[in-house]
Amino acid sequence: MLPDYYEFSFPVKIISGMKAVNQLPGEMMAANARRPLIITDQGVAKAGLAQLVLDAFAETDLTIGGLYDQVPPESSTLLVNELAQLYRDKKCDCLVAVGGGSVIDTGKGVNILVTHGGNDVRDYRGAEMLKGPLNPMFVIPTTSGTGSEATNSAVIADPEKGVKMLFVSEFLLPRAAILDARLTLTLPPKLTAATALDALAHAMEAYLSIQKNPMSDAYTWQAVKLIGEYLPRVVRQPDDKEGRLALANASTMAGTAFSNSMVGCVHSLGHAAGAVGHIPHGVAIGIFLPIGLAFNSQRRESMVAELLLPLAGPEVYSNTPAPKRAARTVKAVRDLMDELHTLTGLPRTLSEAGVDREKAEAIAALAINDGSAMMNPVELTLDDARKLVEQAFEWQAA
Amino acid sequence: MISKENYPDIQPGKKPVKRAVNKTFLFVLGRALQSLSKHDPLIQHEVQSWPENFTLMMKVRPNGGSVALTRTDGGRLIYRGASFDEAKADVVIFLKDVEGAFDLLTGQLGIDMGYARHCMCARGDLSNTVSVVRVLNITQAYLFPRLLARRLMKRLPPIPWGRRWGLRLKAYLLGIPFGI
Repeated sequence: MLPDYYEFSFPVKIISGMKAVNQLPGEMMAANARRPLIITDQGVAKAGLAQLVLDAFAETDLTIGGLYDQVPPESSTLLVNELAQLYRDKKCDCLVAVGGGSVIDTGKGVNILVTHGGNDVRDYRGAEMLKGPLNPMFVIPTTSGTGSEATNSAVIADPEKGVKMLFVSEFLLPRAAILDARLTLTLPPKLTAATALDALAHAMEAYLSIQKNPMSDAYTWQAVKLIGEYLPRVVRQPDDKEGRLALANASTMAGTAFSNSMVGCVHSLGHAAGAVGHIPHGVAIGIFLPIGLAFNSQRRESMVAELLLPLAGPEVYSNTPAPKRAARTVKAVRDLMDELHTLTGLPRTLSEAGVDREKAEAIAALAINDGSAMMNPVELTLDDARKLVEQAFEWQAA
Repeated sequence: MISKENYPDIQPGKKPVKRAVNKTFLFVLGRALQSLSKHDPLIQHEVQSWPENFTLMMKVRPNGGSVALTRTDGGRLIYRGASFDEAKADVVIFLKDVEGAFDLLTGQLGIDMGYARHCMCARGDLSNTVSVVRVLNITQAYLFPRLLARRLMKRLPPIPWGRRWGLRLKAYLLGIPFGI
């Protein structure tokens, strides 16, 4: 299906390899930057991953302007404003974000301020409002899920107002994303599973979105294929470097897909369940993925059916009669979740995740106001959301 | 030799008819929203979730007309005219160009698809975006014939026949022309 009109933007250089981080100083010099501010979080620093990045600068004549390793799990506008001041005080000329979604989004926020000026990043909130490119930023993801290194958006909490601010602009995309197998090796299997399901949902929802286009479809295809092939393998063997690199690539490709073809109801429901039920994002998204696929099959049956090929492989695809392929795709996702549940204890339902049934109504009410719902192929009404949340409490055997 | 004298500046052309149509439809939209927000329970339900005194503005870039609406204490919308100060609006939805705005405002392109096609950008806190889109869809369901409205949105809002025609007539006969 070729849309009448679409836009696609992905100017990020991908540097992927077993020791890809070693290319960082060279990339910096190519961008005429010599004094980075590195930001990361405590978990990354304690796992020794920040040190890996620092080691890459050995025998260069670059000066690291500073290393900030206290980014909290939820990025905040106040921290962004402070880090922008640190960047200016230390006369830095580029940013390096080493971490997951919170660290990367914090970096994006800092980059807005240090490039376009000002002391409060909230002045730049909105969609497609940034005027012109930002300073060089390099992203080194340490999880394989958010895909934030490949997305044009940042979500930063405003602690004063108690809301999450959305920033969307193609200029938020970093200059380069460095995918290094060593950076995700220490990720525990359960977290690996949850984050990879998030990436799988990014890719699959982008394929069903009303914004879908041939370019995002191509990225979806390969992301789904890599996750289907490598996720169970990595969960079984967490030190599988090839598998880790494959998942990192899949996450970035899924991020590219949904940055250009927005996600839908799985993320609306997942965001709401995460906020109301206080469960990790990847867990919530995984729970709603098969439910959302089945729900969207009413409008996107042929597309859900097509996803069976990259997810389950050519044999399963060809052995499944065409009218049953959409349902078989949903079953393949459930099979995968069953396997991950057995291997890691990953929750498959809101009940298993410890969410109280009394919170169902609040989850449904919040979900229909989530921005992702807009790009879903089927209108997500309150009644629909209630039914889908109800389904999420019970495991439907594959 | 290439000389700059041979290459004069080229000023962009004008599309006065489409600009005028856009301004007219923005006016119609503003007055219709004001009228419908007094009576339609679906719109009222949505608007009540917006912050008090929240002002929403739509503007065709750069000077192709605008509309602003403010949520009042009672949960209704007040039309603030076509020359509201952009800096005072909480959220400004910019329609990027005259052609895209024309398609959106004349019912050739739905709000969801307009966003999907990057016809618009926005400044401000976007947490109410989905609710705003629902309100615009409900308004279009009143303003446009059912056959046309069905093409513009994924699912028509559940408006009973009697209410649809009653409020449609009221909007067209009183709300839009007289602001009642």
